Amino acid sequence: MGTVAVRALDDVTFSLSGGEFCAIMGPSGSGKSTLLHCAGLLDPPTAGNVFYNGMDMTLLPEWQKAETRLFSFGFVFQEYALIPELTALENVLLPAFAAGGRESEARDAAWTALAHVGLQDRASHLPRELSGGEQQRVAVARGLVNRPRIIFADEPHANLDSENSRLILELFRTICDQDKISILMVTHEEEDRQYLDRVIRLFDGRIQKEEERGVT
Amino acid sequence: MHKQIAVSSFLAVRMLLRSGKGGTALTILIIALVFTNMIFLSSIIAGSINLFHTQTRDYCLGDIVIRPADEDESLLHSVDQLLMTINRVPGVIHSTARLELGASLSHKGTTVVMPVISCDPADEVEVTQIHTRMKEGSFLQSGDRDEIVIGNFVAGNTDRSRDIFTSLGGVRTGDLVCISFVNGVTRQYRIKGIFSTKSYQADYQVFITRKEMQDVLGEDPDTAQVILVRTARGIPQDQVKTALMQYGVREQVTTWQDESSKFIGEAVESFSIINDITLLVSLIIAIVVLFIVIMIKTINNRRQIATMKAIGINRETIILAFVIQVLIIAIIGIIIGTGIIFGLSGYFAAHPIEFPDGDVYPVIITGEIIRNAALLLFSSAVAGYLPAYWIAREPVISGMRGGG
Repeated sequence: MGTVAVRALDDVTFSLSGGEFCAIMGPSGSGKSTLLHCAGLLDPPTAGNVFYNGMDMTLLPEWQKAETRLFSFGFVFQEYALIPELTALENVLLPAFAAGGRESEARDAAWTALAHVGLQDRASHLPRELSGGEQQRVAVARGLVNRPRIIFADEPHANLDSENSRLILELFRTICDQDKISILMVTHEEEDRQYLDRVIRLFDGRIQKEEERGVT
Repeated sequence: MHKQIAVSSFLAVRMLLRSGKGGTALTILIIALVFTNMIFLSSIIAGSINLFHTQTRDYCLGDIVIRPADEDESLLHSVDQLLMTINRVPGVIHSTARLELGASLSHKGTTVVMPVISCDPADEVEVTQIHTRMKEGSFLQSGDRDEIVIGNFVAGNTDRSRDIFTSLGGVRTGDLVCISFVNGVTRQYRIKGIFSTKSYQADYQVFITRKEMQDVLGEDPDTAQVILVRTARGIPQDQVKTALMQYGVREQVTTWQDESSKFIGEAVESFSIINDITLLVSLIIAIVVLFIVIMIKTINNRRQIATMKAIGINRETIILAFVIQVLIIAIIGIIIGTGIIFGLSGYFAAHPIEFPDGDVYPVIITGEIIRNAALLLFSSAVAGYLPAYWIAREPVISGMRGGG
C-alpha cells in the first residue's frame, strides 16, 4: 500500500487579533485540526506561511519553533494531554520551569495559574485522580502559565459534560477579556458561539465563510 | 545546559518514582547482578594470580633470584663469599644457596627420577616458607645427615590414580628411601618430613642439607646453581636488585616478577582474555536490558513525549530525561552490586574457594570497580539515549495520535 496525498487545507488565509476568541468550525475532515496545528507550529505546512508578530515562522528551525511554543503559545488538547507521572501542580510548573528561572519561581507561577482555574486544592493530585473537567482545567492552567499571547485549543470540551464545558468556555472568555490573550479553538458545538468573537467555517479545506459576532 | 539538566532531572526523577516500581526494581537488580558479574570474576582471577605470586615468592623463588651471569656456566662459585656480600646489601633480609644434583629415588620398587636440592636449612628458613607448610614430620636442620624432606607430590599416594606426577607411592615420615645420585653415590635416607604448599612446582622437590651434599660429592664445592634472596617488606625489589649490583654482585640478578612472568605470562594473558570476554558479555547484557526497558518506556510514553514537545519542551531535554533515568537505575544498580561484591568478598575471606593449587581469596581492586562502573554508566547512557532519540524525533502530531 502506498501513501495517498490529501490536500487538507487549500488557500486558507486568516489573522488573529490580540484578545480575540476565534473558533474554527466545520464538518469532520474539513481541515480544522490541521489548520490549528499549522498555526500552532505543531505541523509544518507543505506550502504557505504562518506569520507571528510579522515573522514567518515556517522559516525557523525546529528549536526556535519550540521556543515560540514555550514562550508565546499555550495549548489545550481534547484528550487533556497531561503527563501522568506529574501532579497537577507539576504539570503546570513544567513549561514555566523550562522557560527559565528557578524551580521555586516556576512553582509560584504554577500556583497562580492553578488559582486562575480554581484548582489550588487539587494541586498535589496526579491526573488519574482528577475528573475530566479538572484535568482540562489543569491543561488550561498549563497553557496559561508562561503568559502566552495565543492559546490553541483543539476541541477542549469534546470529552466534557455540559457543566464542565461551560466552565472551560467561560474561563477562555475571561482570559481573552482580562489577559488580552488570543484563543484559536477548534469546536463542533454551535452553542459555543455565544462565547466567541469570530467563527471561521471550513469546508473541504477551504474557508467557507467567516462570522464576526459580539459577545452575548 | 544547566537549565536543561535541571528540567530533565525534574522529569526523570518523577517519571522513575511514579511509573511501574516493580519493573524499575527488576531492572536495578539485573544491573546490580551484571555489575557483580563484571567485578567478581576478575576478583577471582586476581585472587588466583595473587595466590600464584605468593606461592612463587614463598615456596619457589623468594624475592630475588641470582644465577650465573654466563649462560654457558651452570654454577655460581665462591658461594659463601657471595652470600656474605648479598646479606650485607641494604634491603636484603637473608639469602640461601641451592645446589642440585640429579638422582633417582627408590622405595619398594618405585623409582622417581628428579634432582635433589641441597641447602643450608638455617638459611633456607629465612628465605622461603616451605618449613611452615609441613604436612607431617619437620623440616631439616643444619646438622641433619641421612635425612630428607620431600614434597607432597613426591610422596604421592598409595592409590596411584590420585597422583599427578610420578611418586614414591604414598611414603610417610620415617620411611626409608634409597637415592642414587648421578655421580654414582647411593645412600639410604629417612624421610624427616613431608611438606604441602599446594604449589605444583614447590611440592615436587626433595631437600637434603648442604653438609649431606658435601658428603655425597666428597668435597665442599662452594658452588650453587641458584641463590634465592628475601628482601625487606616495603622496599621495591628493583631497588634491591640495583643495590646488589652496586655491591659487586656480578651475576645475573632477577626479581621474582621477572622470573614468574616467564611461566605465568601466558596464563595471565589467557585469564585476561576470559575476563575481557566476560566483561564484554556483561556490558552487552546491560545495554540490551536497558535498551529494551527504555524502548518500552519511550513507546509507552510516546504521547507524553509528543505533548512535551508540543508545549515547547525541547527534544534534547526530553532525551536527557530518559538518559538520566537510565543513569539513576545504573548508579543504584552499581551501588547494590558493589554491596553484593563486598558481601561475597567478606564471605570468601572467611571461606576461601579451594582450588587444587591453593585457597583463593577474591582480590577486589578499587581501580577495577571504578573502571567497570564508568564502563557500565557509559554503556547505560548509550542504551538510554538511542531509543529516546528515536522516539523524540517523531513529529509532534504523529506522536500525539500514537500512530506511526
